Amino acid sequence: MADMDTFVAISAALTGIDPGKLAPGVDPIKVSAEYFQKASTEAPDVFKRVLSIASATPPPANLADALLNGSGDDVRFLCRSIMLMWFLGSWFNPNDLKLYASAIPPAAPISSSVVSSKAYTQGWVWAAAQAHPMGYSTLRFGYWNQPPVALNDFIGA
Amino acid sequence: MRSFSSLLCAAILAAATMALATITAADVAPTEPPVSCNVTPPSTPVTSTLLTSGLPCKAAIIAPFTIENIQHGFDFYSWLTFLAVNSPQNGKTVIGQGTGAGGDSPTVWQGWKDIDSVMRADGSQPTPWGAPTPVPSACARIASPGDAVVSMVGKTPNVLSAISEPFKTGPLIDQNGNYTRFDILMNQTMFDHIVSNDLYSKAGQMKSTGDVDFPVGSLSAKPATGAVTEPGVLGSMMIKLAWKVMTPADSPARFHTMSALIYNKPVAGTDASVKESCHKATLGLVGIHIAHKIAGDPQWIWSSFEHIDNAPSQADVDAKTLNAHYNYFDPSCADCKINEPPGRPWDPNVEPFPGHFKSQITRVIPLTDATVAINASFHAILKGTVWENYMLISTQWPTNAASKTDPTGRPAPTYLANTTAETYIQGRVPMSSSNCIECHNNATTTTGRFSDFTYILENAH
Repeated sequence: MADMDTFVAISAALTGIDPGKLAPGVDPIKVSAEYFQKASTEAPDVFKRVLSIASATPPPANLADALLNGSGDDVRFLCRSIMLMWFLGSWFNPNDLKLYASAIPPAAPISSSVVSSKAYTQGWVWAAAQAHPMGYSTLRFGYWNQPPVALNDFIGA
Repeated sequence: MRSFSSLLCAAILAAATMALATITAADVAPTEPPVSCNVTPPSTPVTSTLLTSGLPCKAAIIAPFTIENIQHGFDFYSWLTFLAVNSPQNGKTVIGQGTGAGGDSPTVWQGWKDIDSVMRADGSQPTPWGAPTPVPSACARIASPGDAVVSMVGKTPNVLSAISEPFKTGPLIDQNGNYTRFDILMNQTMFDHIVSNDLYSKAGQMKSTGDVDFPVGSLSAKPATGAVTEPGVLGSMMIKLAWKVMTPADSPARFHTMSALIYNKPVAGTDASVKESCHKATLGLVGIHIAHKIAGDPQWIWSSFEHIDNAPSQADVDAKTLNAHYNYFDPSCADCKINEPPGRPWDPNVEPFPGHFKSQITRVIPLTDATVAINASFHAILKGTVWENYMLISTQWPTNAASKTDPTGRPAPTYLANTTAETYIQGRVPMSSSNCIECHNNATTTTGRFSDFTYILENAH
């Protein structure tokens, strides 16, 4: 399996969103490529470990559990960063996440950066809420007067 | 993922090319309006036989269904469409073999209805298809048979306004200081739907209780076998044109031209104050958008062409690989502001534009290598004609036409701008930069109902 395919499989396991939705086969936006690049650049060594865990033979019975609970803090917090990136379109440094998960977290708000304007529009938190990001909607005039379509249409297969 | 049904239909369509050879007249189911659909698959070599291959009723897309290959299929479809709609109106002469300079001649779409003829100022029913374009009284004295009427100013500068571009960004001024002129036309399928559903007036639109749904183009399928047959049905089509005023410095052999009445509608308002006027001019085509609603792609297919002399890409400017002349760029002007509209006031009665202003335009998103290549192929069969001076910018199509959550169908490419029509909204900024489907997805009738990707109906009175 190519690294990108493995990354999409990991992302689907972590987010619960259908991989075909995260990275459609015919995809003009390709935010998955941006996220792959971001994670592999920000934490190259740990990212390789994450990929190797997911592509092990035999594969883990529960990939999300293996990544979040069975592979140590470095893998766990990079995977949390990847989850947050998919949902929020923003990058949270895994070391910051570690710090804020400690018994006495810093008082100041955690910092993050929007990966790109594309990433902002593709944040899955909005789809999971059957909504859209502020300032960006592909829904038609008057959509607010109609109930949203089913959640599964947003995030399911 | 592009919907499977759409791809299946496309594959069937491609396969139909061979099947058609065995279809007899008895197999052909009568449909209205019957047309001979061009079903040439995109793997076909580009030769002069394509010049008379006709108008596609649907794009033929063949495997593999990668985004690049599907894009090629739609770009091929765009060129076939370009050849067909720009073919001589007489239906007999081959494109580029007319009697005008560069083999020019009046085109098929010059017989289509323009927006002002359909959405009339008094809300009355349009004259029948084929009837002459109504001439404003201000133009009557100078009008000649066959003159097109190019209106200049909308009552409110909006997306259909002739004086400004989308979102009131401003007019486009050519290197002679003249305003670029615009027009919007529709084919008979679209016109008939508007008339038969009383969509040409506010009163008629108020009677409607649902969204507008224009007819789609398709091929006919035999119910028993599902095999694609001809004739098919031509879908609704609309064309937006951009024109420059021809001067003695412009070579008619490089442009498709037409004689037109330039009608400046009176405007009184906060944006501009324009006096009614009319004069005659020869216009040269510099931009053309073609939108076609086809089966399986309810978001329409958007093909955008431009004159090759319009503007350099920003990369050309940076690399200093510039031509000697452009329609909207002065290579000798180092301090001209790039892609900025002129300051107000905007009054098209005042030409050349005051202060020697000329638009300094560059193309922000360059053409892809694949588009450059397909342009070269089609230019080869148009060599020596006015039409070799027009290039495809790209074709926008929905990658997931049937999406329940995204009515735009996740278009590809995401951004598509014609430097003559979306001059000032080029780029890659979501919801701000030009995206045909995304923008037109917001179009409504005067009653706020979805108008099926056209702003034409918003102009009802």
